[in-house]
Amino acid sequence: MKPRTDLLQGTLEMLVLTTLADEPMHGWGICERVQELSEDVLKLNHGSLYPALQRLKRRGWVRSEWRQTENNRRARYYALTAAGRTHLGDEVAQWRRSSQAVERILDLLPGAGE
Amino acid sequence: MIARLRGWFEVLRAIVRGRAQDRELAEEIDFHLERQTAKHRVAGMSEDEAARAAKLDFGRVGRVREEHRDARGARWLMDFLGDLRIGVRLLIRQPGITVTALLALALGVGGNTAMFSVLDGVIMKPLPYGQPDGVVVLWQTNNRGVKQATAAFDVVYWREHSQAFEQIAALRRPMGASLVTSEGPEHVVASHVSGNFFELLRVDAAHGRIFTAAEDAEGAQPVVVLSHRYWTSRFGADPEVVGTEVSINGAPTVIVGVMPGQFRFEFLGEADIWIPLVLTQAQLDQRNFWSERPIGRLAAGVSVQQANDDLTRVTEQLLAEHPTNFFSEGPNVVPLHEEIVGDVKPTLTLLAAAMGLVLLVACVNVANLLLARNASRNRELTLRVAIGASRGRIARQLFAEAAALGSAGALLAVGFGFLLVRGLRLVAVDRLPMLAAVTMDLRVIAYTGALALATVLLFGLAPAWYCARRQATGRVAATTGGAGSRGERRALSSLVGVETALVLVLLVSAGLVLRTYANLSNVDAGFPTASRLAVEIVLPSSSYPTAGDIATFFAQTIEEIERVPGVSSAAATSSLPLSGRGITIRAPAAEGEDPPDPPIAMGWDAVSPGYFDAIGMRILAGRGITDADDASTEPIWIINETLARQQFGERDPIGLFYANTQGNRWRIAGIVSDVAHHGLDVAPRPAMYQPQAQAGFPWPTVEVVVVASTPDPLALTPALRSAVRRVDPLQPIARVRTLDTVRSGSLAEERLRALLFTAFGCTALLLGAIGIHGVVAYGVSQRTREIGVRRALGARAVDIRRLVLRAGLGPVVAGCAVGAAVALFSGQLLSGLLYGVAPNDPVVLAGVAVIIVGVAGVAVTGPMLRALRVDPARTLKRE
Repeated sequence: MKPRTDLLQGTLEMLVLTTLADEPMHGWGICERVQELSEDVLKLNHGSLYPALQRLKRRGWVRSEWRQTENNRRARYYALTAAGRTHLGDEVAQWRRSSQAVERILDLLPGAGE
Repeated sequence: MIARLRGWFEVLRAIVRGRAQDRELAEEIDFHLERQTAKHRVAGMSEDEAARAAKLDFGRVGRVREEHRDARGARWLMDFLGDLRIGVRLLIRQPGITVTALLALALGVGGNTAMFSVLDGVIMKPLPYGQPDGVVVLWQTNNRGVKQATAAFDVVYWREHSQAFEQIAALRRPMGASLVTSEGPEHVVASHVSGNFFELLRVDAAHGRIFTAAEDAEGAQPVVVLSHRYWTSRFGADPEVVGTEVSINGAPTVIVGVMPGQFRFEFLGEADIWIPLVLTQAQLDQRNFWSERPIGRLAAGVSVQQANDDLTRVTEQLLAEHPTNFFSEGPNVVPLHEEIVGDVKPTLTLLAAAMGLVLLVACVNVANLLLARNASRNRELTLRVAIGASRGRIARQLFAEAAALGSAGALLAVGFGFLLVRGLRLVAVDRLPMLAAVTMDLRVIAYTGALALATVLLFGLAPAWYCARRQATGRVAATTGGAGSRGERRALSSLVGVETALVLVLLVSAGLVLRTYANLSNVDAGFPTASRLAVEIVLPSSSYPTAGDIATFFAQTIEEIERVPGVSSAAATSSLPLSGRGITIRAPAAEGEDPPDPPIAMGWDAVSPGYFDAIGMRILAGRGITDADDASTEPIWIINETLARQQFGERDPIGLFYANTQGNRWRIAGIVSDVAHHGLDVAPRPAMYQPQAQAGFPWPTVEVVVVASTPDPLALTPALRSAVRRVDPLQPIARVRTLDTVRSGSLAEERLRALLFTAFGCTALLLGAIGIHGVVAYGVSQRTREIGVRRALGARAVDIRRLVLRAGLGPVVAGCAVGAAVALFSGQLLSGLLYGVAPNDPVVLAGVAVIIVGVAGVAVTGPMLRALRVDPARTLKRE
């Protein structure tokens, strides 16, 4: 399991950034959306989302502020920064390129089409 | 870029607001769980099930918090700050130990900081000249090996014939001069220097210019360069003053320049102004007139030794070509820096060593306190090791605690050191002119911080580490009673012993230095000092060119002064006893005899009639000087008893004649008693006294000794000033001081040494007492149970008292014994500075031991009383 954490972490951060691309959200909202987006393929502890958010904040891709929710509860909302948006764009392009490559390799594998 | 800034900001937030961030995260998690619970409830779970499921989804909250903290960055720093916080809290919870340790650090480290800045400023800093290493002083040596001035003729000869020097400049000891502006005459301290003086030092003026080499020629336009200090105080730092004219010693003189503020030349004493030293033909002819103290700039690639050899060769050649009764064992070339710091180096080194000992005592104290404190934390540390804290983690914790103590200590030490430097400057700036420039700069403060931390780490962490390691070896059960173990008690006791030994060494040194000072204070200088004043007057040679002019001026002045109410008598001399100043010449042969062999270097003074009475010297044979001894009568000399004994032994010299090659004859008319001249600890020099009216040289600096009949002689000063003005309206008084001041001033260095040593010794004693008290009090608190049991088993009060005393004073007595052995050795190092007391003086040694044991006894009393109050019933109940 261990070697896959990096991949997972990277993926999680990508998903978070993608989620935030539309609108600012609080942690629980992000969590719901990420699971929705990954179609529950990525089974994660909800808790691990928060250190990930903090890491993104430290890199300057995400900022946060405390706001009222629609039912008047205080929650911390996270939003994409300009740098975060740029990074997401780069990252998505990168992912596209490498997943295309991966698909091509998979196509070449004997029996891959079965 | 902005992203990176944002990132740094996050880290900063993590450091500054760590706990607030924890709180925010907790709130965030609460919110999350709430929403998740709600979601599960909507899906049909019961309240309890929903909450449990939400927690399950979330994972371990503790782990999330840790990961979140990691994600904030600067984790190690955060941990360290946390440890630091705990450390500070622990320190606050044990105020007794903390205050004591801080006090020890402030005193020990602060004192060393002050000492370091003084050593740095005085000894290590290069002189503020261009290539200062090449500047040397050119001395002659007298028959006692003492460095002395040389004749103008020789300086010129050296300059012309020696090859080792790029330049040689003559200069004289700064003298009083009269500077007259529109506001009247004013006394200034003037340094007469060759025209190339500033050029030789490779310094430039801040305003205007320095002298040119031609400006010391006879008949050149008189010019003056002002010191920055004098320019600021007298002329309000007005740059326009350059180029204007003032009258100095009666000569209209142009101010050509002002030196920068950092220029100082303390070799012969600081001066207000510099004037070109004009070597007239008359002065060059005076081969016996040794007033020049030349400095030289070594030629490129020439060492001090080579210069010395070259100058020796030139001097031999000089003596062969121009024989003289000039008196020298040969020249002596000394680097200027060594010349300046050489005198104070032993004192400063000694003080630094003493201060180092105080630091050691402080270190031992800190070690003691921390060891005692850590010992009582055994249980806590044990527990932490037992539940899995790594040794590294515990060491980090202890490090943070030491750092908390160390930084607080360093802060106090810097403050204390700062005060100490200021204090030292107040007490000692007369002795050490360079002290004025000593400051605490950043380097010094860094040194303090490092020293304080090193002290705490070395002496705080080591025992702490020892504790932690011992814990790890699994003696969990054995330590329930705290630190009552034998090993720990032995460690604490041996530290007390070491501390005592150090304190004893310091106090013995202080005692020796104090006794030296006391002995010197009681030395008979050969003259009484009570109700006597010395009035220094410097006559400008332009107005008083000959010895006759000077004598006439003083004859009139003394008459005027004696008319002042409150003055019972007055007399003049060319140099004051204990001043160390004046002229030294070679004692000539008595007529018809061979010159003394070995030659005798003797002091020369011109004195007015009545001087011997005024100063209190006794006529031992023949007669003194009377008003009748003037230029028209037979020339006479009065010699002192040391000269009479050295030159004539048992013979009676009265009536013999001295003669020189020019055919002059002086009758020896009397013998007077000796006075101390170079210092109270120096044997009186051979000396002769000439009537002022018959004086051989026109010596311009004269001291008038005034015997007052009023209780406060200094109150006469204004009246004396106007008495002098009645004779010459333009003549200022250089300074007025009591002979008591002159005498005590000659002991300034000894007094300073005694003062500082006593201060150091008392500081160490205080630290030692605190340390002993701390250790004994700690021991008693740890042994309360044992004492209670002993009492219950029938031990009497006297037994308990003995128990505590043995534990407390045993190491003190042992420390005294060790210290005494060390002191016997260290006393030898001091022997050069002692007077009238042996380095192993038993009185000092025994006295100090008694003081230490007495103080230790007092320090032990409190804990002992506490031990006696232990209630056996309560102890047993607790068992």
